[in-house]
Amino acid sequence: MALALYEYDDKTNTFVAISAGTQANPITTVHKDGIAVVQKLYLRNGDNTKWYDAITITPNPQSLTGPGNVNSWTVKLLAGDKEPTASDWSNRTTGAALSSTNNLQGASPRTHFLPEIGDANAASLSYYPFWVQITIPKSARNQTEVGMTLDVDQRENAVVPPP
Amino acid sequence: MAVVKYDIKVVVQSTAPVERLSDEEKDLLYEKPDFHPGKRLRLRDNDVLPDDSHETVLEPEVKISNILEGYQEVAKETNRLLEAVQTRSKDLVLYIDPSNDPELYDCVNRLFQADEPIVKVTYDMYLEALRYIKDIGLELAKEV
Repeated sequence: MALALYEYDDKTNTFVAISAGTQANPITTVHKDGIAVVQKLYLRNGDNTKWYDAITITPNPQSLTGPGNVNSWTVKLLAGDKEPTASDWSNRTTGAALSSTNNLQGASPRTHFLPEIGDANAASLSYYPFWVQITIPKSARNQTEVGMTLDVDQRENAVVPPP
Repeated sequence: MAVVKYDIKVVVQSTAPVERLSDEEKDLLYEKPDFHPGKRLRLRDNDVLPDDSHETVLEPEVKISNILEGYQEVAKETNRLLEAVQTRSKDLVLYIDPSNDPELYDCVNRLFQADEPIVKVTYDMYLEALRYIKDIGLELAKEV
């Protein structure tokens, strides 16, 4: 599949693909004393013969019970280039998916939706930004958890340029 | 098309509360339990306390293991204990006997993540441990 998730590496000024199942380059958040960590990610198609609709990005699981069953680790998603405010995050439902629409201008709120990536006439190889917020309880012990994923579903279509 | 699952790695690097203590408090923390320079807090009737004219006795009190057993009662019971303790002097020191109070011992050691097992806590550490137990109780109560 040409559609993939990326992060931007400030040190090398390059987009780096997020790994899927290998842990080679996971979305990594480092939490100190229970703070919420926000990270910017990108969705991109790398194949100029394909376009995508019916896209969803879903945290899995929507929340994770930490060791000792103390509180929960939660994941939230919001779309857009501008970093969401604290209020934006507090109004967002934990675990809610981002989904694509063919009318992003008319979508409300727009931060809950992604555009379709390309269309039947032309592929889009742009990077589409969105944000992930991961929150853990303050009482969580020092540890590394790799039991969560961002699940991307989509419908792949062939680009048929007009004659 | 199949769903593609992208990896997430969450790294927790909490500062152990013990690292936020002053040097004096750390020294106190690692003192042997048979040495007690100041006042002490008694939680239960069967606590063994050496003779000490400065001893502060607080009783009757709630047995921590009983608190943990009753999920629905945890928050209420721990609140009562918190309120009782907060009225006492701040230089209290509590000794924890792992065999007598394994839940409190486990809670304190998980919470403070010290390099060595903790058998003695300051007043502030004790309050933090109680609040931690209360948090556990509230979360467990939600799940019941």
